[in-house]
Amino acid sequence: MTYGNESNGLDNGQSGVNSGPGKLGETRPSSNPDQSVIAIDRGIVDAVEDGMESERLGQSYGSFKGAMGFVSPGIAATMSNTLNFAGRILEHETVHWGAFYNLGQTGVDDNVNIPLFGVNLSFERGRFFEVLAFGNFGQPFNPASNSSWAIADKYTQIQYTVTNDRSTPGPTGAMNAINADLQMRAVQYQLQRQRN
Amino acid sequence: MITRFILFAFSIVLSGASCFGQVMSGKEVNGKYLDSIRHAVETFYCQGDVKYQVRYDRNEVHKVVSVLKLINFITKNNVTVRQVDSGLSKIDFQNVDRRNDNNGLLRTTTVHGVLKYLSVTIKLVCIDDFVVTKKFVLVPTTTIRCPNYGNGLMDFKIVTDIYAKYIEYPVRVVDLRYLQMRAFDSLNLAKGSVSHKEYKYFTEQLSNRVDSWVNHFYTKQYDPDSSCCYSYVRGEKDMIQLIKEERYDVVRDLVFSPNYFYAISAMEAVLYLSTARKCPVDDQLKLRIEELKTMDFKIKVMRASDVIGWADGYKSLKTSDESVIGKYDRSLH
Repeated sequence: MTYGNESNGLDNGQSGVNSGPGKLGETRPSSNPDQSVIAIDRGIVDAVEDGMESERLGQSYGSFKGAMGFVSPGIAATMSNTLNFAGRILEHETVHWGAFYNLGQTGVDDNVNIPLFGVNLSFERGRFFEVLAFGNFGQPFNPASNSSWAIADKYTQIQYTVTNDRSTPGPTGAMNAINADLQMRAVQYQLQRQRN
Repeated sequence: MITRFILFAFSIVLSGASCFGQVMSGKEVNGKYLDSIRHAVETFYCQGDVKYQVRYDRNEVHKVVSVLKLINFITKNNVTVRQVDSGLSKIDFQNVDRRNDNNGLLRTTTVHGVLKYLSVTIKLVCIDDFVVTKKFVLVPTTTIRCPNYGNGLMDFKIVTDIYAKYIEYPVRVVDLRYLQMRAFDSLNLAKGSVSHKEYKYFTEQLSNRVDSWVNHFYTKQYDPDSSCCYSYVRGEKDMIQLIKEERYDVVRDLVFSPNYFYAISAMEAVLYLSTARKCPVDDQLKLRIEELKTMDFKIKVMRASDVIGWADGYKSLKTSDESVIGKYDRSLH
């Protein structure tokens, strides 16, 4: 089994480059488990790495920095929330993994089927668990999904970084837009305002 | 006198060139483009605080250059797999991985090579030995420090100082993380198609260069990454679009696509259309459908929004004509 990372989930769902909104992990089972993959979104891996770098430096680095005009959140708490979020995604994908290899759900889907009062209810395992695991993270982005500030920061940055043509990203207008978005999220995440 | 005339003529040519403006070479265009992105990254994303690797090992840079030169050779010429292999064998990779995947008549050879400063993936879609589609992904392996943005940005110094000096084919930066190039070789497609007359290649449509979604769709058949993913729930979206536009003849022809995934998608659309009496199934079509149902090329299957599996051929999908017709009916209404 491989734990990979891809630029797939914390994106704006543009076709051709990214796989769509809210897809933070992916399980690719194969008949040979050694060739199977659980991939975690690259933005999430980068956020964790930013956290490790912040811990090493003793000061906020990358997505662990606050927005313009806001104080950076505590490294330890942000790292804890980031790892919790990454862990939930991994857990979610492991459920799919288990459905494939342990329960032999290799058919049309790996739905959870529950017969109830004579009615067969069928829940899409992915969706069913996704609601529990991710809250409503995805599009539109909602910080109520109890992710971390670092994840929200990476998500916002990626919206403006994705390029799939030969145009040059930024700086015209984009800088104001990105800062405005980050400041909005900083308020949602209750980051402290900087005092002049 | 003659020398004077030659000089005079030469000056006219030169002044003419400056009048009409000079045509920039591929390298110059790439250089300008990559420089502008580096500038945006440094000033915008990193806000002037960016640290690159100070020195690069000359021998290792030389290896990167040899890869870039090989890519130039592949993109500029109508190459065969043998020629590419011969070029690759001369490069001293730290690690090389090679995989072949068959998808109907198309064979995709993927070579992933790692150097100290470059991780390169070369995907070649071939008919027999003729390379039809060439895809390259170049990921600089050196890291940069940008405390404002954090991890994930590629090393734009090596990209502008070294890569840009050699890459001649138009390159694009994806997500500020890697470089990508894609080329399609219609001449090789024509050569490869000669000995496989049983397929339909859409060469005529591909050559008319009209910028329509259908033409992009014809080209996409030869892109290995576009063969994804079979869904039990929804009809293939391009087939749905073709049906909505009443282009039944195109759907019918696509059953004979050299790309197995496209062929089975079109086959399902034809099954639906035949019940709606919009596409008669003649003997030739019937034979092809039977053939497609028994072939065992790998199909990527979407089992949930984040679960992508594989099936060995259409029969292993264990679906029925009735459920396919129902799927298209639901997708269209």
